[in-house]
Amino acid sequence: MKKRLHRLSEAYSDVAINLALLMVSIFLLVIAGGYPEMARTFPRLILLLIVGLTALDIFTKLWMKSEARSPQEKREGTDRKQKVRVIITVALMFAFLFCMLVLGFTVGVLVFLFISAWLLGYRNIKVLLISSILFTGFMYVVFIVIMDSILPVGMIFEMLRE
Amino acid sequence: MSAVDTWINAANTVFQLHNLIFIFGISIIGLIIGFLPGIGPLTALPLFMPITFGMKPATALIVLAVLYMSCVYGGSISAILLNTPGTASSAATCLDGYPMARQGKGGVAIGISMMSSFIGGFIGLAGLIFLSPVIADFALKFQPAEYFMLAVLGLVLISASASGSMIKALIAAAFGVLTSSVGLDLMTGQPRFAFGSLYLKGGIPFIPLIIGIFAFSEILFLVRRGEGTIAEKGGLSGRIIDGLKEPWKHPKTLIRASLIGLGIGVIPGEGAAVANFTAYLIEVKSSKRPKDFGTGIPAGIIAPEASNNSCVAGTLIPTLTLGIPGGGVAAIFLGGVMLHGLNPGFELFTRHKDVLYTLFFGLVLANFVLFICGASLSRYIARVTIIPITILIPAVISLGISASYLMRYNVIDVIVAITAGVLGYFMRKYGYSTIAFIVAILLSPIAERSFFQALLIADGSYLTFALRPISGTLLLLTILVIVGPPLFRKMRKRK
Repeated sequence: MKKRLHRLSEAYSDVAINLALLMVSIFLLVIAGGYPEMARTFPRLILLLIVGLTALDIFTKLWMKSEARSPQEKREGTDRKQKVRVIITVALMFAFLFCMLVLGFTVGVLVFLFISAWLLGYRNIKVLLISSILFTGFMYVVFIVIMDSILPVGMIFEMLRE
Repeated sequence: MSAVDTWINAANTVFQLHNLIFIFGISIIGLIIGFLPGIGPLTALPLFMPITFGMKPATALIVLAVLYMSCVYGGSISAILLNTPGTASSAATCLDGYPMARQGKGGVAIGISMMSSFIGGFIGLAGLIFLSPVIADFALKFQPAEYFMLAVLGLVLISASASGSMIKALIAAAFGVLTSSVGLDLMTGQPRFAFGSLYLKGGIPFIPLIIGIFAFSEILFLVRRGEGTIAEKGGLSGRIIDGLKEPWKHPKTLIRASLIGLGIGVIPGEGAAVANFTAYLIEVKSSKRPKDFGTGIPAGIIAPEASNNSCVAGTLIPTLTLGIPGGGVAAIFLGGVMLHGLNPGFELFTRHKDVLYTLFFGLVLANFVLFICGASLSRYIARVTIIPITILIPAVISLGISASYLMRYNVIDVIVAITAGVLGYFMRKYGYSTIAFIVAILLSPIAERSFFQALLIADGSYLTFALRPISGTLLLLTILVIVGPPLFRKMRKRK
């Protein structure tokens, strides 16, 4: 019974996603309708294809035996802890952007590597410090020495310079 | 001057100290750049182009071509160790390379990749040197209808090779095409799906998208595991030398995949991303044990690796003989050729024969250098898999975000990369192929342009796609790929 319920909930989550995709496609179809003939033909063909495919997927999920999920998919149940970790990582991505713009590329990378690894649970300070310095050096060589890129100096250092 | 004299002169030029330093140095730089997720030859070549301005034409072309080759070599290392292809041309390598690394055999997988790339590279170079006029002649027969059908076949093949539901893979591919249509329409100049945004009118940038979809989504999956290392068994029990021996046990796979890569490389617009998937899929279909693919078997690494490296040489064939770039990177390379005052085609093969043969000889030497550097350095690069996840995640985040920002110094590009990362995470979670999505973005512009050109030529008749011999064959193959597997399954069940 539990297994059946789980399979049913999996099928319904797929149906919900397909319905969302279907609605997005119909919305985009309406928008594409306003474009000139040449510009709208190809996107409309693709959108109609998506409508057909999502409808077919809904049909297979509801009226036919639930399609077997790949082994990788079967493992993807997410508990609360995992969800929190994923959210923290996305937040870290924005945090790095902020670090880079405020502290500059080199200092930003160094500070970010150290603090975020600590936040993610790594506690060996010696290894953390050495790896942060080494990786910052690697990034410096690749982006600044080899590629000769201009990366942010950092708002703080710009203000100090002024 | 006889052919032998031309080759001797080319060897003399290549063995000059400065050329040797360039070949060796650029090979290592390219390996590192290719290893970095999301930063491939398409990013590296434009960045290196200004550096070649002061060089002699032969040296400049060697630098650009070696950079291209080495990026493809390096891209495979991150595909195997991080499940993040450094370049799109290594995406299929993830399918068996990463599972092998997770079994603690990262070293063996890299050894297989290096040897396959080396042999594939040689077969590709042999094609470039000896068969270029013949193959280029065949590519000339391709009209827009054939290009369109080839793009469709490429997409369908990639969707069919995706694990899980083919319908979902096709939906992902269709959304990829749609994503590619955001921005100004090339035919009419009409903004599509831009919703009044100036940023979207320029289209969604590819590099941040690929960084997000591949690198960041992988990071989000890794972080769910909490602490530990990438290699589930916590080490690299396999030796690289074992991997170097493995491809010799699969000669048919090696030759077949290399020829597929070469053939696809010659067709303008397709390129290594399509080649490595096509070779992988054909290997799956021709195997007696297709279910073993995706679990970390050698043939699953040999096929994509041999094909993508031979494809690199293949893309240069129409570029050098006809002036038609075989792909995006080949287009940049073509720019480099012209910037140095050389005209591709007949003139290059006659008046600048010395430059051309120096390039050929340089590429052959670079293939040796790349093999030696790759096999010896990857021992150290392979150690990435035993780095704790908690240290690796911030490193990949900082690398990916810096690379996204570097493209245009635009903060919105970084936001696109992060959003794509979240999108890629959910796509993988719910079984939508991220690879089909990305390849669709790559093929979509060629498909759309060819679609309209074919219709214009045929006075609006859609029958042109079915009635032209090559296009019709490609259409038939496409239908076979879609209908074939379920039909065969039903027939087997009945038996």
